Amino acid sequence: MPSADEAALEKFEQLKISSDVKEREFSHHATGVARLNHGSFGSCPASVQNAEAEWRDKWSKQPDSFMVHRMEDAILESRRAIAKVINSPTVNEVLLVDNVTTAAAMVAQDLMWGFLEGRYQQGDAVLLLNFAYVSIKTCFQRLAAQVGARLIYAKIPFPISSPSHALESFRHCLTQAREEIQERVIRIAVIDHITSSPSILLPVKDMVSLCRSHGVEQVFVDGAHAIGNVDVDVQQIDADYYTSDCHKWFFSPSQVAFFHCKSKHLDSLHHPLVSTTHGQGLAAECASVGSRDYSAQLTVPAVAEFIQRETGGLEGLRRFNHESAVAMGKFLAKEWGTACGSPAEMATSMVMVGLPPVLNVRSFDEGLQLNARLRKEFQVEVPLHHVPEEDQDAADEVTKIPAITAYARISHQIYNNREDYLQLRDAIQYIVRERDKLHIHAYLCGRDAELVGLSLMEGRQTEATDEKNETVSTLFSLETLLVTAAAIVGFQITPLIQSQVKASCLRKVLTIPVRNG
Amino acid sequence: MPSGKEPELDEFQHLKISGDVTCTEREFDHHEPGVARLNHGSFGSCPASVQIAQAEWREKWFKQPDHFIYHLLEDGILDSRRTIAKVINCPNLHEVLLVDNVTTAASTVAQDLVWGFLEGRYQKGDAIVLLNFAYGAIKACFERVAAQVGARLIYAKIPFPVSSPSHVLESFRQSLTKAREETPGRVIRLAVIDHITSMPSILLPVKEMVTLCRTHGVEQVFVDGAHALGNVEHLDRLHHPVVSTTHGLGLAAECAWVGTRDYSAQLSVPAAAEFIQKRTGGLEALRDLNHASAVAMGNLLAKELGTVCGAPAEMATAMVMVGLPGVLNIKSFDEGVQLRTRLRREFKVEVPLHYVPEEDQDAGDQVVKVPGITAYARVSHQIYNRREDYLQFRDAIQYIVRECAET
Repeated sequence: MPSADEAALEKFEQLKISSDVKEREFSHHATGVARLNHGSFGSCPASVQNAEAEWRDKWSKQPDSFMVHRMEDAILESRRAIAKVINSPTVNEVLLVDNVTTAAAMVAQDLMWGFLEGRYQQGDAVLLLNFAYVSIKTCFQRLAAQVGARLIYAKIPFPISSPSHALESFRHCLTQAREEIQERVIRIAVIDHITSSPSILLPVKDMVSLCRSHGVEQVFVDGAHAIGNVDVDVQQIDADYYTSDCHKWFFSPSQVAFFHCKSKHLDSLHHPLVSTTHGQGLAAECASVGSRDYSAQLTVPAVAEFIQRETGGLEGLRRFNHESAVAMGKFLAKEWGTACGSPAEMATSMVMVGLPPVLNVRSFDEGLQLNARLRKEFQVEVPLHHVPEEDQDAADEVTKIPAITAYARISHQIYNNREDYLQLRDAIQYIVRERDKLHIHAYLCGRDAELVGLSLMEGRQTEATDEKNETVSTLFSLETLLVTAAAIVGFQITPLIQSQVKASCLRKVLTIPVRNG
Repeated sequence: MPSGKEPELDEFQHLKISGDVTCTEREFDHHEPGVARLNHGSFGSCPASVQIAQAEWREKWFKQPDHFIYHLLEDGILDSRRTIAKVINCPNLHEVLLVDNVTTAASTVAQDLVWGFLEGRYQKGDAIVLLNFAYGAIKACFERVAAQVGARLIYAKIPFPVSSPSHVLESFRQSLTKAREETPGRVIRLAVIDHITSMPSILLPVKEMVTLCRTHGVEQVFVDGAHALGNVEHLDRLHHPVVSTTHGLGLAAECAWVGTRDYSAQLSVPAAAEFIQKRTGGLEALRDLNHASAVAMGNLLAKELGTVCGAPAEMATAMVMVGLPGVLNIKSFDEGVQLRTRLRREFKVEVPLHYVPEEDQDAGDQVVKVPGITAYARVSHQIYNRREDYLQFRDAIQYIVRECAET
């Protein structure tokens, strides 16, 4: 094991986390699964689930009494707990919603009426990042279509070398956007604090400032992955709206998220669902959206308590998760001969680790297929990000490793251990070996020059069969093989391929059939 | 106890309830002891076995959420929808969507209406008809629409107390005719009709009312009474108010995924259907029992309190409106709330109260023939209720009545 991992292990001991927290609080996890996708759906510890059940029991016991006498205060307690974590100047600015999707719907709705009431004009713009989450894109695409707003995407590069790399790209896009829209106005910019796929931490405070200095009227920060993962200080970031899912990194059950809204906007926004509290202020509207189970939203104080008790505090936990994720990311990149997609300062409790190019993930769908296969066959849960073809060259420039077309978004949370990452490593290596087999067989049958180059990067032993399904083997050195293959399929040996062959370890010798003609 | 015929909870025996009282006690152990729970209508009650089924779904989610989303959620939601479709006799599964609550359904319909106006398919001054007794959230929802797009909101009057279904139909027909007169050249785009009003609670002849709507040129009818959207003509135009990844894939898909949330409740519908079948002998028998018991208890209470019920038995459901003695002198909505709170706190009786507005009291007196009843209690019966619950309520009111007499 590399020394980075040992350091992470030591930290585990130092942090006030008892070694049996996994057994006590996370025994509900499916056994045998390497759970490396904490980012999507989080995990709710047993003690918080119990707290939720207790609230539900109180409700079931006498619902009228609960609604009239307890509900409002309980919601307020949850809001207070969040306000403290995010440094909101007042609890009034902190609303609880089901999820970031709902928060986005509220902001979009307000924007819509801006257009419909003539305060905004057709052609006024909405700015999103290229990496905005898909349902956010859908939400604002719909809005743009409905009211004739112009949708502009600002490009964030990935892989990425530094925060200033992101800022430069963003500034450039803002300038370009201003030029494109001429006298029209950018009414809102939606900025991710931590993008989802690929996942990188953006310099959001500086990006908000850039927006303001470029005349953007409102800024909405989508911090879905933020609370519990990185420091969230809404006063520092100073966006008009900030939202985050508590179920991701804040140990809450699903259906708990917060929406921070600056006081000056509280009167204009409305919940998309109209209930009896409509018009009584956004907080009242959010707290009463018809009959439903509110018990999840009442668990925030229990979550805060869990964090304090089990980890000694959010700051220590965040640092621990970050350092462990980074260490594991580096480890995997080394094992696979790849690289991470961002520097450590732009990773969070999640890290983007390049997958071996030989896996040849060529599309979003192929990424999904691989993700499904990892789940089904190897019991590894990890989301994958595909780098679009048009970004491949720029990607290669950053990583200095060509043709990494996909990244795994690995996470680290308090319940993870070393074996989870080894399980992922082994699964990928198994598939790589398999791929070699397939590729080498394929290259003799076709003229796919790219395939040849990739498959020959790994010098592993394999077997192949000819068209009569008989195993034919002759031993060749890797270089001889390359020359032979070139001769057979009319393939050009480029300097890049040559250097790759030289760089790879000739640990083993390939066994391949020799075809006539 | 009066010597007259007691409403008989012998009816319980007739129903195929296994283990009888014991069973229902096990299923509803979570109820607060000592409380006469007569407000089933507002928040219902979830039996233990269904709560367990829900917990099982929740466990599956926590165990491996990605696997749950990809492999379990969709089929689970489909099963729930199938179960509902069967109960409401809807042959087309794609017309049955699950939503959180009626509030959400109303927002979906309202949103479509808004776009009708904004896209010029409807004109300013076109109307929306609601009942005077439409639920508060529904009123808020459509009042907002009207304000936003310049639609005209018209309230059709349903009388209460009420003497018969035809009493309702007459009043509704008159309101519709008046609405047509008030909107010359314009169209009534939507009528929102309660199947069972909330407060006061009466069963309306909704089939005939829908027919009346059609004959009076109302374009669309939204019945608030189904807890799922059903039988909708413009399904492809409707959208869930919250836009997520499934936006544009059809309303069913939009409703089935509204971002990451706890879907375990919606997945428990088959378990609820199973509970009803196994523990009560079926929905029809259960409905009959609840209705018969509610009516019987309503009559008992009215007799004991010297009042009347606000509607005939055929317009009661598993809920009945029982007049409160006039001497209680409830003069406003707020005073009704105060009495309700007192009943909860001092007497551990949970029952919602309806205040009859002053302008309706004369008409009310005409119907019930007992003057001065200004408030009604909406008394429910559900499988877990006992005779004692109703006696507890009776005793509480009689106590307060004596108090009034003494002051």
